[in-house]
Amino acid sequence: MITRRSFLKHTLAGLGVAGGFATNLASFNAFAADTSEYKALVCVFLKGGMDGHDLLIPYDLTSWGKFEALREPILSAFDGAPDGLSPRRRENLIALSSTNSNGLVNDGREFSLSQEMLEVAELYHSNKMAFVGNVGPLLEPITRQDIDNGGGSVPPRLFSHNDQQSIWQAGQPEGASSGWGGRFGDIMQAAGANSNAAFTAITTRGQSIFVEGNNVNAFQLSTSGGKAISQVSGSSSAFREAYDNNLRGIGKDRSNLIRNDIMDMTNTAIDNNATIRTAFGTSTGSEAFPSTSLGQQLSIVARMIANRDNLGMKRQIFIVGDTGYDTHSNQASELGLKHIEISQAMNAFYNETVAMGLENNVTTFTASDFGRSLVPNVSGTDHGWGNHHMVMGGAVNGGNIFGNVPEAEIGHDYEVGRGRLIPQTSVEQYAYPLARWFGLSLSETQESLPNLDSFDATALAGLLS
Amino acid sequence: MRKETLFNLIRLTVLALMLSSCGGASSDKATIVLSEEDKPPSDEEAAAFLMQATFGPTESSISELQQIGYSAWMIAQFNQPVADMVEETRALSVGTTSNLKFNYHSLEVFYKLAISGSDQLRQRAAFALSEIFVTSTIPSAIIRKSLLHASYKQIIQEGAFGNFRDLMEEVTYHPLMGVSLTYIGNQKANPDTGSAPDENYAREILQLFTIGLTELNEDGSVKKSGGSEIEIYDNDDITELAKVFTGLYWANKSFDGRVTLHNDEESDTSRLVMHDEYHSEGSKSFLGGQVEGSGDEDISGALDIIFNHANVAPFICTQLIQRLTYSNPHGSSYTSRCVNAFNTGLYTLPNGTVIGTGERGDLPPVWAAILLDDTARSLDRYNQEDYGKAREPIIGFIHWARVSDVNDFDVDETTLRGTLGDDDFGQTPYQSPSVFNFFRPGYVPAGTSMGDLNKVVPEFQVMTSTILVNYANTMKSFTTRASDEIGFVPHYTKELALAADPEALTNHINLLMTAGRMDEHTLEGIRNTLNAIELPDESASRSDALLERVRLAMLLAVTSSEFRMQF
Repeated sequence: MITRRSFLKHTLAGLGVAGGFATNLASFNAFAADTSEYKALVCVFLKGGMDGHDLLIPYDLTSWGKFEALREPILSAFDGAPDGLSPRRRENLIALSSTNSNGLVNDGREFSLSQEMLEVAELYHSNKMAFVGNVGPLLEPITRQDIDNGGGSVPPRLFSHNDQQSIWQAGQPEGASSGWGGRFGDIMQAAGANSNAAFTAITTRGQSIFVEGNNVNAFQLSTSGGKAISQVSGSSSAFREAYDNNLRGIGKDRSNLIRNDIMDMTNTAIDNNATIRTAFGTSTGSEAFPSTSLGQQLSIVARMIANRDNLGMKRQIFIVGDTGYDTHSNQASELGLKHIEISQAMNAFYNETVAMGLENNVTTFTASDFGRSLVPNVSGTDHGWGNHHMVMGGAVNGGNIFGNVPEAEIGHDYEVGRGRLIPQTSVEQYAYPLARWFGLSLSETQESLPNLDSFDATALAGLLS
Repeated sequence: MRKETLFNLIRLTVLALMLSSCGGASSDKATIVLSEEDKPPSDEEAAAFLMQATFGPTESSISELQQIGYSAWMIAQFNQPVADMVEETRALSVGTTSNLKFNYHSLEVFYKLAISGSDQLRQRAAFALSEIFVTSTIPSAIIRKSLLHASYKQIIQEGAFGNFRDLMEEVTYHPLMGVSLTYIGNQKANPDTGSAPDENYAREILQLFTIGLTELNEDGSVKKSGGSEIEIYDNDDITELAKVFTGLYWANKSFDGRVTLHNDEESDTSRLVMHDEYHSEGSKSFLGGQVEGSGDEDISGALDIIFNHANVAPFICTQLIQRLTYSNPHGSSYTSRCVNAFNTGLYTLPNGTVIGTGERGDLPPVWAAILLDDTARSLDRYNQEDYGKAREPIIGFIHWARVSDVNDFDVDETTLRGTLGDDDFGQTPYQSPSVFNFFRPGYVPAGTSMGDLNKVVPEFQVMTSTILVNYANTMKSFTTRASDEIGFVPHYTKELALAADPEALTNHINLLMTAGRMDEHTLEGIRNTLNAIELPDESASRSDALLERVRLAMLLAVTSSEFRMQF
């Protein structure tokens, strides 16, 4: 899988980053996945298109001034403190300290978070949280000039929710057959990491292509744990046998494929839920999690991780999903409340990994359909492309902003109308350090991220260690 | 408006002619001789048709269809009057304040009509359309507005037998859609603040409601150029079209530029009103067309441009076929024939009667083309390994309720109020968690034999490992629901009468629940279950035993894979 071209590209790219060269050479010799100690990747997918412009907010006076001028309708909506939220003016923001090493701060730029992101700011300042600026789906590095001149190619179906969700998760629009999380799982499963293949890739919300592999299939885990088929009290053995046969498809005609699949899916669901119930036993989850959807999903992920040895798991990939980020209107109150939910849920999850002694073994990262327009609607924002994201965990070189955060301006090289960003870091580049940390070799990483070779793979090499 | 009225007059005339040509079917049934194409070949095939065309067969609907044939049945269904869902919902709500806080009364009216209404084709057709013109439960506060929801269900029910272009307009002017897709209060760009029009509705009316994203062939397959799909529009089209959907606001309220909810029944049940002073001026160019006029003129012109796009028929027909009969019609002559019905506004029924207004977008010919096509009727379909569709959990529930004589639809008192998310069925009618519906028409299920063939099974998207177990448990609680409970109690009138005879009850359930598709193994499981429940002589305990027989047989039926899919 490793071509001479990609070898050169990766080594040369590595030269530019301190330590990158040595890391690359070492890993280049490791062709097989490392499955020694337990590791988990957790994707927090913010459905609807989370507004990254309201996540990583410019703070130095020059940048803030530009931002304020373009964002006034939303900022003024915060002034009335809807739902008890704090105003979104510079003096109300939490400034991020400047430990950044990649040039943004050298230019004198500073960034901040909303007050609702209090816990995230604390995680950043304790070096457990990093940001990655302007990341999103790309086919190749591209600028606004390229697009205006009709040169270069861009991903299909931009700005469409379902398709961009799929492209983020699988590299292809809706209808894709596997996602990169699932493909990481394929490799780990083939390397013998897990004695229970069914729980290699897990979603706690709906079906997600991210956690479907070519061999590994996702298990959809309820936030209440394993589910059991309730029996009819006092029924005969004849009924119980017939009921079990119906649900599990024992002894049935399988000539129709849809019917065949329904039986297989139901049978698998019953078995996997039963295994979870047994593994979890009478233990209860931590009470430290908020009662929000995101909080409860991360809570059950933590419980799953706590039961890793019961289930024989060394490498697991999770996706949790939160909704409510498609803030076309009323963004001030809706996204403001979401910030509280994200911040508290992620913080509770990090603390739980610390309590389990696994903070260095669990890495959590956010993803979303797309970023949003910088220029607002009357009270919200519209679909965009590039976006800013969070990566959290003990292995993260926190307290840094990786990638780039374009100035809050219209008409620059990475802007495509109304302040929608053209990504400068591709999803593959974002995934690369996650893959390597997870234990995939370079060739396995390239296999899982087919378009990685179109980019400098090591752009975010310092993100995890 | 005058044009619409004229269409309706033409339709009424055509229908009246057709009725007279049937020779007064209802008064003189015995003399009707049906052609081979017009008569279901068996009770099983009648039941199979009624599973596609209605929320499920009953003994009487099978017998009616056998007597009058497909053509007269379709015509009779097209002539059924539309119930007034708003008035019914209002009547239920009188004097109750606590229940008004949720959408129960509107849901209750929906269930009443879906389960016991005689306009079954309209009910099923409207439900299919509600999964295209999706209003979501975001913001969550709109779930509390019973009349707002009832009024939206009403326009979908009325539109189901009208013209698609009119339905597009009714949906666009409906406040529930305006709230769901945030264009209530949308306004022209403001140079002082720099704000631009909200693009939400402009994007989704194209992508989800009418033409999709990429060009389609007439058979619903993706059109390719140099091996690549052809995107129909770019974001410039969206920002232009977004200008069209500015200036609309609640009736009876002054424009305040926000997606505010009001506590006002008139506003909730009235068309949105255009405020030209907030509507973007100047020309708007998109999809190769252009509009420039007053707000209402712009919207009308824009809807015409969208409606006239060649993608509308294949895009809509593919999805309506998926909702009623078959998950994978893409690129087939089946879709082409449906597209032809959509584009010509005409369809020739098996008895030779031509239905439709002859205007493009007339929907009755489309329903007929989907349901009466050879692909959906030929017995060969049973030999085709990918034929059929998964039965939506909520359609399975309604089907069971129809067969089981449910006649009390009090949603408040049942677990039905919590059917979203992890609970129960994973779907509540007209309450999708987002505008993308409960499932996507392009969902390829990973790790299944259908997925391996790159076939779609949209409904599998809600059939997660949690919902699969919850469905069985929820159906267990309904099939065994005690008679003194409130809401959705099964009366099992026909079934109890047959319960002393295991063979007769098994056959009855096989016919009504699966159109006779249960395999021998499943039938044997039901028979064994029935025979294991002995019938005492003493009358009270005998009644209990008969009821237990019916309950368990029904539970086996609704959890059988023959019922979880629809052939």
